[in-house]
Amino acid sequence: MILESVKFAFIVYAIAAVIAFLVAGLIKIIFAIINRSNNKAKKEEKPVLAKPAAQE
Amino acid sequence: MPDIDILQLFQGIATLVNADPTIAVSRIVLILLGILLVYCGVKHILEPLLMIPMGVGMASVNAAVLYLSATTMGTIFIDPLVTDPVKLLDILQIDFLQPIYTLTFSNGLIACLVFMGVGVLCDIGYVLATPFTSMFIAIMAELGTIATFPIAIAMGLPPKEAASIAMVGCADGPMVLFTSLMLARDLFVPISVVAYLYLSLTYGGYPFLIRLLIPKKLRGIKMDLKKIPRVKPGEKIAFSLITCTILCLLFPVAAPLFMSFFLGVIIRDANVAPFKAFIEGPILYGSTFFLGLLLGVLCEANTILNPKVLILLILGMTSLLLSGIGGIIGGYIMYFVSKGQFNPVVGIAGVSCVPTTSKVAQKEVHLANMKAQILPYAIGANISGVITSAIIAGIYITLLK
Repeated sequence: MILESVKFAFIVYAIAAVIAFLVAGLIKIIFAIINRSNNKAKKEEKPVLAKPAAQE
Repeated sequence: MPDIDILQLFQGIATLVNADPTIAVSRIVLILLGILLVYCGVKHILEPLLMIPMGVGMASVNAAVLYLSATTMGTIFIDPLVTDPVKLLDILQIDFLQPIYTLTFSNGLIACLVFMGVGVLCDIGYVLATPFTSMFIAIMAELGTIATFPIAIAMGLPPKEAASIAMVGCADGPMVLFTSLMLARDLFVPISVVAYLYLSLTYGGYPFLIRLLIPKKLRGIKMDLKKIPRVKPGEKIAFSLITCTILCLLFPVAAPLFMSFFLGVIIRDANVAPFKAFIEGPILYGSTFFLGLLLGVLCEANTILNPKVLILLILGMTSLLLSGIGGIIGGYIMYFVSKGQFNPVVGIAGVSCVPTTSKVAQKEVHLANMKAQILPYAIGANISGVITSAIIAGIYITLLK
């Protein structure tokens, strides 16, 4: 019974750890998507701003 | 005119004299304990928000035992053991705290309301800034909630009760309350009381653990706060919404906890001022007040006297101690991984007693080095601890219910 409970506790810990790191991974993914869309928006804005400076 | 019998007139004393000696002594001890809790609350030795209503409730309920009929003794405060619906309807009209107990306590609503308030207080941006570090420390600080389970089994508790008392290690009151309500209804009163008493002690006990396990030189390590990126409210809301949905999908039994916490976080970051003020004011303080009062009132000698209480006291302490040690081990691992850049004291903040353990960590660091700041990292670990505790509660409830 005790051995089984140790095994059970270990499994619970392992599942919790995997989910916790998945949540951490999710944060990174959300940040990557947001940064990517921000960069894309900046790139689209750049030529419009750069043109008059280049002409001068 | 009726004859005046002194014992008939003062029924609190009559029930004390006529009760079983064990019950009578327990009532006196609990009255004194209630008075002590109020004293400790007033003097800020223990958390006053909880200890003052709890102590007053404990002292009053144990003094106010009367004859409900010729043979039965009880109080007109609350009857937590009633299950028959017809009897419950009667009691709802007699016992003045019964409506609050039945409609908010025994279904876990009050735990969720406190959790919502905790969500409003938490700036989740610190978790998002260093997600893997925060989660790693938080999962290490769950050592008590995991290791206490087999210890409790070895001490003779059935799995559901073992899991409920093991949750004390997460140092999160609403979580312990919710888990014990779901898994060990018969023992939820003593488990919740043990949990809240010990949670108040973390503020006094953990500093000694930190000083014992971490030398002063390491406690004073300065951490680079410039490395922490700024997180926008939109990013916090997106993370909260997605994580809440995923966790509810994985553990529907613990969904009320997840929803309450992340709803609080989203309201904070969405800057909905009226809701924010409502949750962090009336909801949080109101539910904390009634939680304390009901826990105190539930400490009536007849309800709380259980041979398992001593085992619960030992296991609660073990769980909290192991979680603290686990968190510090996590802090040390990060210290070695970062080649001495990480202050291991942050580890204790992985124990999810928001914001107590963060404050304790910062205070200890400050005592070792006046210029050292670790609070943002500590809060990140602290909030991650809330998330990992809810995950473990969800796993325990799902597997054992």
